[in-house]
Order: sequence, then structure tokens, then C-alpha cells
Amino acid sequence: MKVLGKRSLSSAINIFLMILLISCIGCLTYGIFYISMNWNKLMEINVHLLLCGVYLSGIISLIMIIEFMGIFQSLKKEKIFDNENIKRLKISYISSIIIGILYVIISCVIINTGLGKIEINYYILSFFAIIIAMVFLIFGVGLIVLTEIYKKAILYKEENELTI
Amino acid sequence: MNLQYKEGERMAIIVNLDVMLAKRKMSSSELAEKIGITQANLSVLKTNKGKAIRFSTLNSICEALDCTPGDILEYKK
Repeated sequence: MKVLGKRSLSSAINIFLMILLISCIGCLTYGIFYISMNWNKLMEINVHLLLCGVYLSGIISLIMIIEFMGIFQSLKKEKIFDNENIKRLKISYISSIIIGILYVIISCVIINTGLGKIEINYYILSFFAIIIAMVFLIFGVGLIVLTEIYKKAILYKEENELTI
Repeated sequence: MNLQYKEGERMAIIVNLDVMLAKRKMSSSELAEKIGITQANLSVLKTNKGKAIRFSTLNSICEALDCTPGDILEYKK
């Protein structure tokens, strides 16, 4: 299977990310209208906080998708070890960690909302929020490691190019 | 005492290729063609921007210029 270059896995993933980006923008745009129309119906302050948190994580995810599109675009052009990719990976891991922290806060807000109530839904939702938080935090740490490996790879590539 | 070269440090090894080319009355393009490397790569070597030189390249340069590695490479602290 061809991974790099034109008509490869990289170009297929790039197209998928483009569709994902358009869908996310659509959902976030619709979300603004829905929230603005139903803001007063949502009585609890915790629900407002939850919506803001989830919305913010959605916007940050958009940034991540754009950066990943940039990375796969450079892989499509076979520009693998590029300094621009390091910047993109840096932005991606920062975004991933921020989303992870946001979801930790979201799970705390959910638990706080459900405190004193017998409904198990709050605890299930909080559990899923923690899972999402862990996934993003681990993904962020993985990207940090990948960024360092990438930096070394570019250093070795430049040294090799300057070996006459 | 750690004498390992650190990235970003000024390299004390100087490549005196220009001197040898002038002595042998040869141009850079001629030398590049003789030893089979691009002019751009030869320029990297001449301007001390190179990080390393292969023995095979050094061998070819010495053969083309009829000299020893010591005539081309100098250590100046």
C-alpha cells in the first residue's frame, strides 16, 4: 500500500480530514444557533458551563484537524521531514492536552451537577468524559514524543545532506 | 574533559580548497565534474558549511588535486 505521495493513504486521509473539518464547522455553526435559542431554557449554571466547555473543545479540535491536514498534505507532497511539521505537531499536542484538561473539568462539572441525586446517568456521563480526557491526554503525550523524534530525524537528515 | 563537538559551536576545521584550486589552476566546476559531486555540494565544502566529508570524497579530491588531506584540511583553534 502506497503511504506517501499522490494517490496514497496520505491523500485519502487528507480527504477524510477535509470532510471531517466541514462537518465540524457545520455542527459548531448549528450549535451556536441552537444554544443561543435555548440559552434561557437551560436553567442550571452547570449546564451552561458544560456547553461552553464542550463547545470550546470543539473549536480546539478544529485547530487540531487543520494541523493534521497540513501534516498529511506535506506527506502527500513527500516532504516528510519538514520543519513546518514540527510546528504543526507542537500545536496539535498543545491542543490535545487542552482538550484533555477541558474534559477533566467537564467530568467534574457533571459530577457536581449529579451530587445528591440518585440518577446514575450523571456518573456514567462523567465516566465517559474521563475516558475522553484520558484519550486526549495520552494522545497529547504521544505527540510530544513524536515531535522530539521528528526533531532528531530532521537534524540527522540535515547532517546527512551536509555530508559531502 | 569533554571534547565532544556541540551543535552550534564554531568548527575549528577549515577547508582550504580555494588555495589548492588556485595552485593547480583548476576551477570549482572542473573539480566538481572530476570527482562526481555537484557544484552546490562543493560550495558547501568550500564555505565550511559541511558537517562531514566521506573518505571516498576526500580520496577523489586528493587524487584530482594531486595533494594530501593535510593540504586541504586545517585545524585552527
